Amino acid sequence: MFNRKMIKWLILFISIVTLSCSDLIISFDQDDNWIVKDSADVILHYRPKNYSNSASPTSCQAAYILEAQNIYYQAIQDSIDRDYHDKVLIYLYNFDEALEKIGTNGGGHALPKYNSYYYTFIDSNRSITDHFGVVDPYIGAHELVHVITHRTLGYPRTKLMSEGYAVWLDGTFARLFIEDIISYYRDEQPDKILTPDNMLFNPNDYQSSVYYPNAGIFIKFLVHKYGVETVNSIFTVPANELAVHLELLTGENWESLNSAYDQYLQNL
Amino acid sequence: MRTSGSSIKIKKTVLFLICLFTLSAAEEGVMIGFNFHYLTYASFSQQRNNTPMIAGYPVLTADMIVPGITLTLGRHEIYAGIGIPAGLSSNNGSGHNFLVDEDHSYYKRMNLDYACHFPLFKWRNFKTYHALNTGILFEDRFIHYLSNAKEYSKDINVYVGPRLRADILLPEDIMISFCFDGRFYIPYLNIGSLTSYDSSDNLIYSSTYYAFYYNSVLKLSVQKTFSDGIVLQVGMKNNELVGFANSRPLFYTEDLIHFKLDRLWQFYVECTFSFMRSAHVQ
Repeated sequence: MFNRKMIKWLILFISIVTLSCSDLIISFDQDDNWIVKDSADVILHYRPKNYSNSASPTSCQAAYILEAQNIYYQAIQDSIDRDYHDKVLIYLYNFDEALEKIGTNGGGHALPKYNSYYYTFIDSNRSITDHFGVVDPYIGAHELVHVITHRTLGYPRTKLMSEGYAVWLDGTFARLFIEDIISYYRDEQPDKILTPDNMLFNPNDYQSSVYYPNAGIFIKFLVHKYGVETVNSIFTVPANELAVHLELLTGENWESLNSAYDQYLQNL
Repeated sequence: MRTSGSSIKIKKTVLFLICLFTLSAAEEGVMIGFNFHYLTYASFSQQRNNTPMIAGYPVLTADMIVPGITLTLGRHEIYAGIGIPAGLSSNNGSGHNFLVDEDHSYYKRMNLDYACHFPLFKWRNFKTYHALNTGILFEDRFIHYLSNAKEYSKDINVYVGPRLRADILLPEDIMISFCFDGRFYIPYLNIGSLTSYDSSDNLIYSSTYYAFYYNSVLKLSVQKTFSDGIVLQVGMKNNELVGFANSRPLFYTEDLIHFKLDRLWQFYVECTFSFMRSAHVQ
């Protein structure tokens, strides 16, 4: 069916396609045009003035970001009752380059292994004073929570633990308090209230605007009910073992926890 | 002492391969090359985590010397290299190390590569080959953070993939060679372990992991064959290894425990001695 020559061409074609895989999968960005501003616990990398068509942070804005991040740095450790002593590196991309370079221009993502996170600098945003008392922060505590929790509690096996901790400790989603979001969902859009099972086993079935506030409020409930040490100890437990672990630790079964959570949401 | 059936099968397979290699050697000759690689290791951070990914700063870095041996038996080529453990540093993008304690962190690496070449095309002094390419890579990395927190990750990985090679023969017994390897590390054929400690040496995390990596290796070399059969070769390799690891063998990300976005540049020199007949791939 195939002659020898055709087989050789086929081998050549498959090899070339295979060998070009790395270019399809990944590129290496070694752009080192950063201003580096050091502080007690956080190091901010931001773009110099006129780097792109979007605004770069001014020196005052950079100082304000560092001041707020240092507040969060200590508050997160206090909240989870763990010590963390490494400096966290923030890479702050301008709005018009962020989508291409870090995959989002509405926030960021963390790389705990490298004590780092990437974020988008947005000059104008909805006004808020967060529950740490920081007025109109350019960057919240969310990504910093990922870095500190992953490095002090381990690598989570569930999105519920990973995002739940970050949203609980940040206290907001899209610059709205999670209690306000969940109360609104409960009263106006009850289909957006997720059960613990939904959050554990189908985390990717929901939009971020639904999943994140639900996960945050659930972790807040667990900490409120059982204490942070109990919740810390289930941070790296897989989804299918979480209910059993929690029952062993608290003596309360999953069904009664669900009822208590339902009651908690009603009283929110 | 009783020997199990599977053990006998493995012994028979190994014996068969040795016989095959010996026959090949007797027929086509043997070449043994002694080489030294100077390798720069850069393990990048995952700047963008959706496809196509972008690797960026900060980056963990190491410089390593890798002594190795290449054994060529006709169409079969076996390379073994053991890196001298290297210190680890980092670069935040402006040349500063804010991450690791350079005195205590290390990077270790060993690899065993095998390729079996077959002729593809030939035109005058230009010859091309394709090859089945397989081997084992062992890596051991210890990050001692500046806070005294620690992360140990070590893994052993089996790969398989295609190779394309082109040789250009020049006058004076000089040959220029290009070689492209595509290597797939299959999650079911590798295992790793990751352990991390906080700054007070309390164990905070320990897990095995199974990775899915893709590795491309581009090699360019120039060699000169002398009248006494000794071959001197100098070359460079660009080695890029990318992928992720979960707590169970998967081809997609579930609970990302470990990842590699590694770029290695290697410069090497090799001196090869011929035994029996010339062992050039014909």
